[in-house]
Amino acid sequence: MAAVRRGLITTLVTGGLVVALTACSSSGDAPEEKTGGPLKVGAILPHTAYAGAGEALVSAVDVAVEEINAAGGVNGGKVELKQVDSTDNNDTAVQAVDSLVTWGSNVVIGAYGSGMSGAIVSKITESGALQVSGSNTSSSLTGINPLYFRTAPTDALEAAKLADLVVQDGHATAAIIAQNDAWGQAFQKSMVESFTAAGVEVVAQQQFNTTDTDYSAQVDAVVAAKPESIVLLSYASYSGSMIESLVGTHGFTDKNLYLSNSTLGKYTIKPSLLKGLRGFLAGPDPAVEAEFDKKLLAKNPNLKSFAYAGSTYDAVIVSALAAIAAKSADGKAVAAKMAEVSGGAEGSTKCKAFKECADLLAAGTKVDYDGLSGGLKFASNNDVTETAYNLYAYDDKGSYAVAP
Amino acid sequence: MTPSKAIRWLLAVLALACVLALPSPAAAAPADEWGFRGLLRDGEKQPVSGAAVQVKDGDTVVGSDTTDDKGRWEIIPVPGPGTYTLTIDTTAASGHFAGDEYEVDKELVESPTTLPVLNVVVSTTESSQQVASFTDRLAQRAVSGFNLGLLIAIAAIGLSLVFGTSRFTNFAHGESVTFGGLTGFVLAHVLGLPLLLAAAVATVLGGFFGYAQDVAFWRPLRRRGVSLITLMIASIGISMAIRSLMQFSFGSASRGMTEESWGTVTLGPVVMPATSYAGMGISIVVLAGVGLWLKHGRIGKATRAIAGNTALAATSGVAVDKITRIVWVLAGALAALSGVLLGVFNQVSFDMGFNLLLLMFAGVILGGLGTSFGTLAGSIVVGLCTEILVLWIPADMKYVGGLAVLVIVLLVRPQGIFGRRERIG
Amino acid sequence: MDIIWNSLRELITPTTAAYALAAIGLNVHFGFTGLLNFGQAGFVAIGAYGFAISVMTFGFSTPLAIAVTLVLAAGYALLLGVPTLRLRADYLAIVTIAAAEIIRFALNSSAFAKWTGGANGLYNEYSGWLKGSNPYPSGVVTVGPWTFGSNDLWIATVDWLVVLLTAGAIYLLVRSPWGRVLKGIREDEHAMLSLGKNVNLYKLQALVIGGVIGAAAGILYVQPTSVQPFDFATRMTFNMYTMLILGGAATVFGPILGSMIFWVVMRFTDELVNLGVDGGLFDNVTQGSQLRFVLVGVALVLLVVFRPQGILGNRTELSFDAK
Repeated sequence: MAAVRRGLITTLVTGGLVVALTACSSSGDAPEEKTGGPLKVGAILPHTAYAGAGEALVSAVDVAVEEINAAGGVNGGKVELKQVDSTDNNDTAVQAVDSLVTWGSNVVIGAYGSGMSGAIVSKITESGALQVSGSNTSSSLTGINPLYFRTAPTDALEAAKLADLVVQDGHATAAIIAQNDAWGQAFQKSMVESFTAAGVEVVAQQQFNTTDTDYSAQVDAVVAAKPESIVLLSYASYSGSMIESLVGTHGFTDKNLYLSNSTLGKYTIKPSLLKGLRGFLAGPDPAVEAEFDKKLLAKNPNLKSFAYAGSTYDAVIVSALAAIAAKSADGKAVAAKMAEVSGGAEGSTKCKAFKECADLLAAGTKVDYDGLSGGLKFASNNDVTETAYNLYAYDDKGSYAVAP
Repeated sequence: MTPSKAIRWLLAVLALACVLALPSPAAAAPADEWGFRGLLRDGEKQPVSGAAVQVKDGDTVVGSDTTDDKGRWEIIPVPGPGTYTLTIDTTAASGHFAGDEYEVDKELVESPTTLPVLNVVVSTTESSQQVASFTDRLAQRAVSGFNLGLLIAIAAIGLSLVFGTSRFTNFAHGESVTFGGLTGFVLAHVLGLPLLLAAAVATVLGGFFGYAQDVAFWRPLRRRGVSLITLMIASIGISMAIRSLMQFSFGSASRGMTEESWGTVTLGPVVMPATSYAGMGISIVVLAGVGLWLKHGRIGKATRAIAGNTALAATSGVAVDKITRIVWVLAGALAALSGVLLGVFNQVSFDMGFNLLLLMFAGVILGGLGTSFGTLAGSIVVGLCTEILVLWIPADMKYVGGLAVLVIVLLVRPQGIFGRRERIG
Repeated sequence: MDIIWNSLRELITPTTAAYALAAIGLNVHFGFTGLLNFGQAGFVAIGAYGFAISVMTFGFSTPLAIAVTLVLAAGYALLLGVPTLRLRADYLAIVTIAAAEIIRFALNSSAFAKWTGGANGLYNEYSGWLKGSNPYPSGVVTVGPWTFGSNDLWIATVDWLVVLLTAGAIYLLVRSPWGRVLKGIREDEHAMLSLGKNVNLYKLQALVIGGVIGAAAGILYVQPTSVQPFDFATRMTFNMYTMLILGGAATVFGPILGSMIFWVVMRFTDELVNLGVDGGLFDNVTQGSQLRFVLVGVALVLLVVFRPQGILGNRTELSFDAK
């Protein structure tokens, strides 16, 4: 009984404080206009989840902000950055978003997965900030909010390129192994659509969970369907044993095993198994890409895969440019200029780096930023178009380069 | 145009939903970039050369080409997006097609997510798709399941022994498996030791890891006389702490254990890497050794005595504390070995053991808590169910098979397959 | 100073409220009855998915969807309880954890993606009823030192009302004769048997009540965000145990206080990590975040060993330290 009373008191004191604060709460439509202040960039990316696939994105945001500030910042002030851990759970992610919103972010970069972006988009945009993701590819996010942008290409075009390659190699049947998450599911759907359009019969589709102890069930099931070709839609982190099994044990080769952008990465398996395997990566120029990867590795030497790092970098750069064009750090004002700086304006000048673009903007010229993820342009629904793809292939040392 | 008997399939008019959502005139390609190219094959997957290919817009012929000796025709340009009819006439083709004609409708869509030139495969006859027979698939899955079952068993025996002597369910046991996998990776991949040597060293280090856990956490807690449920909840905390620490030091990525390859063994329909068979061999030898030791060894007998009745064992002169320590060492070593084998079977990552933990629990409980032979049998049942049931259920639900068998068996026989009745009380 | 206010904001967020409610449900199982339910996340998942699917796929009205969801949860509790309650405590723990994982794997599978959205989960198209009745001005609302989105604050208000009402009901329930029987079962099952009480029936009732509260928490949990299968992993249940032991198992307000402290500390450690990164303590921000979970794990161990009764609990009235 005493315990109950004590508990009641303690809880009521804690709660009472809250109620008291609520009672004297003031309310307003929006926080003070932050036009004069510095551009505050928040980033919600996974630091502890998804087998490290998000870590390159974290470094990419660091690199982008450093480059912006080295080039003089935005509207006369340095860009401020706050990175928080999204984990893979909504509960901690929502917390992290709260802290970004309270901090006063004008732009929020993230989230990593399409599913999580759907969970946090209303929270971010309600605060008047704009959300730019460099890695959301699910078509269900298209046009979800006027303040939501993404610089990652939807996988549909890559799927079309892969289907084209499969037909070019002379295959009429294919099997798909896909990672069971937002990215993998959306890609798999696009892949099936592209194969159907090309007349390629999909004879087996298998999904795997990233927490499973092994993927032999999936590999065996697609092998049992005896496809002429297999497309592997999985992160490099999970693909090692599947490539070992498909190439080493089941005799698939670089002529009938195809990789997705995220499957291209660094492996610790025998390099001869990887030799010749191909996949498409978005990006204009392989040399620029290699240079960028070096910068990321300088930030975090443990990085294994770089998928979506370029588009996340672009997400930061393009929103900073939009802020310069808008002469304001206010989220809505920045959002209004996003399409323009990506090449939506008539007679704009193409530019490739932040400094170059910022100088042009300062001189009063309209710019068309084409970033690391290839040509970058926001369509009316804030999705990105104009992506360029290059075909990459592994050499005999286990690293990949643009296919000859 | 006479409709051919072969016009029966591939009338695919595509309804790409995203097309509607993505009107982007700015992205339009120049008109001369639109077109069709493709490949013509027969039912035996062989290219058909010399066939005439026409692209028609309604009844108007837009362009034509002839397939080359690889069965390909090059880009036939069309003025722009829209639905076109591809007509293929095999009159002049090599082979025995008797002038069959094929017709396929294909749509070119103006969208940033499709290509302006569509690469098309057309087959002259429906190819007879060969698939592996059900028994072949079953055999392959059974061997995989047996392999997984042995892996679970090696790890789970330790869990079961710890339960027998310390009486609590150790949620941190998965981390001992992870420890073995990560140590094996460092030894085999980073230091370049041969796989077998790396496995042996990792197993010994795993023993030390088990010993360290006992000294650092469990002995002090036993001395404090905390309850079993407290121990269980503490083990959850320890599991979380160790797992995050491993992530901190090892990183989040999964990695292949070794570049070493022993080749592939084909036994009838079952194709597996030789390392998997070697792993199974090692598992069986180790499991048999542990079984014999428990049954006939002096310490093994003492272990069973403690599991049976701790107080009685203590009064009969069994050094309970010493035996408990030995059991922790053994549990750590076996878990580490299991981690190495799992790493060879698949990959190593900071949460590999944690992901296996629930299947270990299932194996232990299915066999009857605290009985070693039962644990072995239970683990193999769990492994087989997990891998075989994917023939019927989607592979991304495969753990459901292993866990469901646990729930179902407990409904019928709460003490597990080999457990004694009084254990459930 | 900022980081302290930032962290304290977690006291009243909807997530804290939803976790508090789920932990209240778990407290009925574990604290008051001594049932070692390690699958509370399964009940929360049933609540979240049951509600979202009822509204989005079947187009049920909100009250009907809530009713269907709670009935579903009660059915699941019966399904789970009838065969397993006669098992020993740690068997129950593993069966409940296995059942919760079965549910999560099924929800996560692409096989049922038509209804569940598979690994994508379900986007929020089900909380119109709450947002529609929002009395707060739209946009951003300032509460003391904190700012909230208007909808968030409204959801938080509703959530906390539900939490307080439930806590009140539990307060009455555990002081009733029924509650005293539960405690009796927890302390000495055989004594209650010899008094002629149908122990299994009481346990089953407790399992159903706690499970239904867990499902209600699931409904609240997904209102401000979306439904995502990964949220309902074992970590959710473990978090709840931490809260329960932190606040004090077998107390009425323990789970609420536990949830508040848990989330404030989680936020605080994240802010600390950020400071550490700024100060050059970590090479990169990801490593710091990993250390945060080491702290959570260690905290759970220290708590359960050195203060198993938690902040509000009474050492003499302990459900799980008695043996």
